[in-house]
Amino acid sequence: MEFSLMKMILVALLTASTALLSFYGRAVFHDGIRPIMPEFIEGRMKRPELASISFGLSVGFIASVGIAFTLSTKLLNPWLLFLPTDILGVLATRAWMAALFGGAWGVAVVSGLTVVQSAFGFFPIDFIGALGELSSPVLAGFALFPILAIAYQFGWKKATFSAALVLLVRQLVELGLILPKDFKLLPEAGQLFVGTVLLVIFALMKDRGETSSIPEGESLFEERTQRIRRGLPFFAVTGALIAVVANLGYFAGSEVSIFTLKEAYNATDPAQTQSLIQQAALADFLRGIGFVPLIVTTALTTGVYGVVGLTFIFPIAYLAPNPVVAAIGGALIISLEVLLLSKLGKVLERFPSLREASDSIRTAISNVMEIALLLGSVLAVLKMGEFTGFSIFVALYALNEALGRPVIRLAASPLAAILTGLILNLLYVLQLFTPAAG
Amino acid sequence: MIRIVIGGLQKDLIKKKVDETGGDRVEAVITSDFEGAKKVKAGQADYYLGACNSGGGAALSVAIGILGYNRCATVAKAGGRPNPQEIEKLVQEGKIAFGMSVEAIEMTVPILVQSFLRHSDQ
Repeated sequence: MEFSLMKMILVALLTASTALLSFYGRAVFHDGIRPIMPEFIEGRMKRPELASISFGLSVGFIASVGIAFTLSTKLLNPWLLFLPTDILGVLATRAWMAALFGGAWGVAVVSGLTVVQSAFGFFPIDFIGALGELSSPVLAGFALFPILAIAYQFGWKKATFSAALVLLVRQLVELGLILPKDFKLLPEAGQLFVGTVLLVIFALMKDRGETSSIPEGESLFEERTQRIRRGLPFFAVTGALIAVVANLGYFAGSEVSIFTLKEAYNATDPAQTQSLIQQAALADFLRGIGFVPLIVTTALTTGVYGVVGLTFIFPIAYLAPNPVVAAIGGALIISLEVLLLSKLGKVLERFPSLREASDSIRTAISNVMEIALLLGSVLAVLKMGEFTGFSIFVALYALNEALGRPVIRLAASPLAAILTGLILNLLYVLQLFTPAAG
Repeated sequence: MIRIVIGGLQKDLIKKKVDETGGDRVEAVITSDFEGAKKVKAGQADYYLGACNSGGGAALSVAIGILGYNRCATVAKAGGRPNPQEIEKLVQEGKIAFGMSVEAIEMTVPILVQSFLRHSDQ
């Protein structure tokens, strides 16, 4: 994505508004800062202290996941944009300062990214292009998360059964046997759908007949829910801005969609682009389901919401035909989420296995993503520099493991692949490495 | 017998490490963050352990909401290592819910459980 003034303005508006949400204690992106917010709102903690906690919790994510994902895809991501605005908003002592800091961060990211990317263009070995190899393993790997989640929660027998069924569905879709001829569906989409349905069925089966406990502390929840409802206009504006930048192809919502979206925006065949975008939307939708219980429970217990809501704005934004529809859709969906919050809380109270499923879903997603990103990065470094690239990559990856993983696994592979690309270029300049012809 | 409830991500791994370290002096139960924190609050469990990607997010957020911030602590952030002295101090101070990053589970859980055991011997 080339530099444009429009992009910079939109992103700066977005980061200014998320910084304001954090300043007023209305919403933060980091799930770990949300529960600490009431300490500050109710006066038991000062801004500098909260800011330093936020910084400590977030800095690793910004430096690793935030930067690595954006460098390898040229798409902005929430960790890079919103974790810093959580911190800046908390740090600011006046509202205008929060807006200024937030906006400045947006400008800095967009211009910094443009500079870094044009610098990458001068490298003799194109390693950013090679990072495109990441997308296929991510697509195929992510499609398997429901099976892993079933294995965690319901044991290997149900998991084996589900794996067989999902594989069968994959092949039937692949061969075009169960769908009308002109209906284009990625086999991964079929896999995800069937796997998730099985997971939900197993969870509901387990809860059937079990008596549920009556929720306690309802009145406390009620007061905090009211607080979130009062923030609704702010959330709607932020939701609209997020939806616009995502719809324009500047921004991807999460680790499960970012590589697929990059592939989609680079594809030359419009039909291919469309089905990849649909796949990314589905992936973020399902990931969203995994995060609902966490965000709903923390929001209801703290009265502080998430800047991206329950994350369902992402699929809406990708699929919307134009930015205007995306903005309206984004504002509507985030408002709907807020209005349904306490209802969702009650449903989760009634079906404990669904809430448990959320933990297995998130464990499963981070496991399949770690594997997919590791293998994808290996494919990328092989493309950059064959087994010279591979050796450098493995050395970097193993070094991170040996040092007690200063970079979290999710980010370690793409970051190691980027570093491998830089080192290969250095070796090339020193005439110690020649890429294979072609 | 120390009763430990486990919420958040990678619960099986945490339980395995708790059992390895504590043997029959601990009882580790896998639960959801919500149920687990409520158990600790009701006095049906002594400690809450949780992990997530950052060590402070899903690991502790619900526990903080239910038990209060001053009873919870993140002992291993993403990219950081657990510090045994620090953990000992937090346990002595009476913290009852601990969060860690998933990368640090293997290093952190044994230190925590040893601290719990020392604390209960006093």
